[in-house]
This record gives sequence, structure tokens and C-alpha cells, in this order.
Amino acid sequence: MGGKAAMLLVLGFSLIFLVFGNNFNSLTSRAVKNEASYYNETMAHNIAIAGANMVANAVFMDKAWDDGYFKLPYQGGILNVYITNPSGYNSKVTICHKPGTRAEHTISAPPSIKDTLLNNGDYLGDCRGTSMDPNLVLIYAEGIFPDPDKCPPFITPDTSVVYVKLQPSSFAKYGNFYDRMHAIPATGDTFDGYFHVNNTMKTWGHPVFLDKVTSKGGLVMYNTKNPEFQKGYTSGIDVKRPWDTTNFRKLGLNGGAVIRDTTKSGKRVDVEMEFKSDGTVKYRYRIFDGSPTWTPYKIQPLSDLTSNGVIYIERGNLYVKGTVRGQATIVVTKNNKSGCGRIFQTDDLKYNTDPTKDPSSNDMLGLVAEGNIRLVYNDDTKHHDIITQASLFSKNGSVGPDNRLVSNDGYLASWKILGGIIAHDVRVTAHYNSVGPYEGYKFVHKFDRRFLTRVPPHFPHAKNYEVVSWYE
Amino acid sequence: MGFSTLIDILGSTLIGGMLLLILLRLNDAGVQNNYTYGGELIVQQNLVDLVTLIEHDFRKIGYCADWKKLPDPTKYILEADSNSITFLTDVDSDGEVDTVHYYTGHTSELDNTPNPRDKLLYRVVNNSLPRGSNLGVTQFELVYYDDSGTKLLTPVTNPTKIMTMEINIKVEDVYGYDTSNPNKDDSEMYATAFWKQIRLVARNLNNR
Repeated sequence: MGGKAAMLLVLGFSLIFLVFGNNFNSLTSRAVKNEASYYNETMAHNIAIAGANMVANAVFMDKAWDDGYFKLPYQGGILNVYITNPSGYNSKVTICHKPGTRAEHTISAPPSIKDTLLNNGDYLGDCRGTSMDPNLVLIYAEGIFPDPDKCPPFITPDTSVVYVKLQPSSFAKYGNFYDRMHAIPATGDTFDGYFHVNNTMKTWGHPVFLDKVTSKGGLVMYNTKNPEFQKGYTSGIDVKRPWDTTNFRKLGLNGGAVIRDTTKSGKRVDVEMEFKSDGTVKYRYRIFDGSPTWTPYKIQPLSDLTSNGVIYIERGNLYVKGTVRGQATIVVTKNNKSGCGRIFQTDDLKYNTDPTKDPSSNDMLGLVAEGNIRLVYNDDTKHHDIITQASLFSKNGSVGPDNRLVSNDGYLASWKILGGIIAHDVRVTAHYNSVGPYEGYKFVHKFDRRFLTRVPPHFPHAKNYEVVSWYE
Repeated sequence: MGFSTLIDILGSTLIGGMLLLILLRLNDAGVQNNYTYGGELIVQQNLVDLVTLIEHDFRKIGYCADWKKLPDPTKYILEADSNSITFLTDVDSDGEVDTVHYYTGHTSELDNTPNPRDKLLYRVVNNSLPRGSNLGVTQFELVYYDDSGTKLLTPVTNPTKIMTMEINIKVEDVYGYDTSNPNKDDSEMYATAFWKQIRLVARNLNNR
């Protein structure tokens, strides 16, 4: 009897312990499963991020790189990165990857892995309703963790996707860009748009920078040492300005306009150009071939003169004014010929539709000179407020008024610029006393914010790409 | 009935009583542990769900399928405070810009739960009605840093300066064990889990 009772007691307690133990084990295993699930997700995500960074870096180092990675073992998982690069080395096939899922995306893949992808449900061509932007580099990075070939069958690997869009970094996105600065931003100066110096950044007192500021060298502050960087300052950023006239010439010859010495003896060419608010351009030119005479004026629609927007003036100078209706980038080169490569603004140069009043305005102008860009001293400019609406790019010179306009016969006027100034050096626009400018031109600059997403046609861009969109 | 029988009865009563006491204590401890461990599991699951959602949303600050609709990468955070944030993103990747607002409600909204510290974490997309589920959030703290790593005072007067952020989330069990017992200190009864993102860098923020 006593033995039976003891047995029942032992069995009863064992049953209770088993029930409790099972419950605790269940709680523990669910907690571990939860943790493992989050860990797998995080690892897959980190692998995808690493892949996107690796490829973005490869494209940054070599803008035509487009190898990608396929089934690359990484951190216990697998990494696939598909890259679409318009200037890439390799031939690729366009595939709709993972159709019908949230990760659905159009990718470019090497032909060697086409069958593998198609066997997994992908199909050839763009995904429905989408098309790839031919101007962008697209990176599709896929992290899979754990490695499906190595994990037990009861574990389903997690997949995480990152896709990144990169575009050539246009100089039009800068409000101010200088290779060096002989004049120092000082108290009373306000700078709109991105500001970059490929040198030491110097400030005097309390200048205000409304947008992000970057420089190659460090920051040196004078006087009260109180610059106001409203969107931050970062040093150590080197942005080179390549100068490739071959491409401009090619664009000019293929859909654009080319004005140069037609005798092909490399003579200087001066061009006068007036934009009209009806969308036409009135222009003439003269070739310095010993007896330079102006050709008769020619008037034609801007879109007829250049269908791709590029007007290329080789070994010449440009005198420009007017009201721009449409889009154009005028490139003026020096090509080692002295007295060439300059742009002179002779009167107001503005858009037909003012983008500050109507941001949907499609009027855009880029002025690109190998030398200086100058405001000319004449009856239309002296003693008058002047408007310049364009992004101004001077490769080796500066952007500013003529010497006589810096004094302006003792008058103080305003130079209202809407756009950007990208130049080798800074040029003064006025003479100052202890109060501020008293003669010349007050510099009233506003950045054209359309240039953050749209730029004048074929405006110069940096050698490298920049990330414009990152999905993770 | 002899003396030895009496000893047997007394002994068995004593042993049986001790076993009964052990059983009662075992039952009590088992129920408490079961409740506590269950609460910890729920807290952990809630935290993972919450963190997954927050990581999903915060990583996409400034993302839009049509990137040209968000041209200025410094203007993606509209409002930033220590326990609330409003930012621009594209929630469903349809190319349309959405506004997402995270903020915590007041503890008084959850007076019906024993935990005195829990509050709702609201996620409001565009102008939809504020909705939040009670996952036991007792702390949702955001810390912001500028490009030089300097901590920004909250509320951040100029959100364009934000480059990185730190996220602290504490989740507690909303029903602790034996919380109705007034003789116990409630603060020790609730299972707790804490998650911290030391530096979250939204890739689209100031990306160009």
C-alpha cells in the first residue's frame, strides 16, 4: 500500500514537473525563435547594405564598373548585387526580378545567370508599368541569411533588399563652388544653395550659409569666428572639376549647334546672342581672320538652333543678353588661344517664366566658359540693377563685373543672380567701407532650387556619381 | 494500535504535510514563473515587432520612389522632439510623398492597465486618424546629433541640422504578476525589455 502511494506521488510530481517543464521549454524556444528571426532579418539586411555599399564604392572608383556579384558568400549568408550602369563595360539582359513580390524590380543581369533567374520565376524585360531611367546607375542588392545551401531544411532563410539610384553629380546643384577663395565670406554675406570650396574654407565674422557647406581643407575663422552654417559644414571633401571639351563638341555636332572658325584655321570667333521671349535667338558672329566683320543677324527658334540644348562656341567669346524661353547650355572654349573662352553679359539675362514665381518654369540656361564670365560696362549695365538668371560655370576664371563696374562711377546698384556660380576663384563685385558696399554691385544671390533635380542640358558634372535615392 | 503505528501515522502526516506545503509552494512558484516568463516573451515579441516597424520607417526617411519629388535632402525631417518626430517618406513606394508622425500618448490613456507607465505609441501617416496599439511602450526617446556629432537640444529648432539619431525604446509587460496586490511594489513586477539604436543614419538624409 505504502509503496503504491509512493509511486503515485512520484508519478504525480513527475507529471506536474513535465507540464511545467514543457511550458517553460515552449516559452524559451519561442523566445529563441523570436530572437533568431530578428537576428536573421538583421543579418540579411546588413548583408544587403554591405553589398550596396561595396558596389556603390566600386562605381565611385570606376564609373563604368558594372560587374555586380552573384552568390557571393558573405558573413554566413549570400550576397547578390545586380547593377545597371549606362556607361558599363558588360552586355546585360533586362530582367524583371521577383515579380509579384514587394521586392519586384527591373534589373540588369549578366547573360550567364539569366537562366538561373528565369528558373526562379523572373521574366525577361522590364517589370510591368516600369522602365529604367537610362541616365541613372541602379544598384539592386539582395542579402540572404543564412546561406540556403548550408542551413537545415526547417529554417527558411531571410531575404532583404536594398536598391540605390545614382546619377552624375551636376555642378548646377551648387549655389557657390570655388576652387579657391581670395575674397572671404564675411559679416553681412548670405549664401544660398550648396557651397563648396576645393581649398581651405575661410570666414570673417558672421556670414550666413543657408545650405550645406563643404570644403576640401579645414575651416579657418577670423574676427568673431562665428559663421552660421544653417545646414552644417563638412570638411575633407574634394570635388574635382573635369574639363572635357570633346564631349561638348560632340554634342554640338550631334543635335546641338557649333560656332567656330569655318576655315578650320583656329581663328577666334566672337558671338553676339540675344534671347527673345518668343523662344527665338537673334545672333551673329565674326571670325578674326584678319578683317573681322560681323555676319548679318540671324533669328531662329532656340529649339531649331539646338535640339539637344548645347551651343558650342570654339575658341571664341560670347556676348549675351535677353529673355530665355526654353533650355540651353552655351559652352565657350579657349582651347589654348589667348583672348578666348570668355562670356560677357551685356544686359539683363532672365527667364521668360520666372521660376521664383512659377517653379514649374522650364526655362533654363547654363553659361559655361573656359575663362572669365563678366558683366560688361556699357550704357545698359552701368548705374543699373542687373539680373542674371542662369547657372554660371567658369573653368579657369571668375564670375563678376568688369573692373569699371566694380566702382560703377560711384554708384551702388544690385546684381540679382538666380542660379549658381561655379568658378575657379571669387571676384569682388563692389568697393566696401566700414558700413558695407558703397559703389559697384551689391551681390544679391538666390539659388535656383530647380537645379537640385533638373539642370540645364548637359551642364558639366563631376566625374563621379552621387546617391539620389536609397531604399532599404 | 501500538506505539510504532502511532509513530507511522505521525511521521506520514508530517511528511505528507511537508509534501503538501512543497506542492503548494511549487504551484505558486510555477504559476509566478510561468506568468513572468510568459510576460517576458510577450515583451520581447512586442519589442521586436515595434523595432522592426520603426527600423522600416526610420530607414526610409527621405525616400521616395520618385526621388525628384523630394529634391532637398536637408528638409526631410519636419519636426523633431525627444519623444516625437515627423518626417517625409514614401510609405508604400508609390512615388507619392507621405508624412509620417510618431509620438507617444499620455499614460492616462491607459489607466485600465495595471502598469502605471505604459503609453500608446502613435504612428500617423498623412492625415489619417491617430491609431496605436498597446505594446507596453514605457519609453520612446529620440536623441538627435548634427554633422559634428554634437547633441541637439530638443525640440530641435532647426531639423535640417539633424544628421544622425539615437533611438531608445523600453517595453514593459502591461499586466505584471500579482499587480493587484497593494502590498507589493508594482515597479518590480513587470517584465522589461530595452532596445537602443546608437546611431541611426537615414541614408537619404543629406545624401547629396
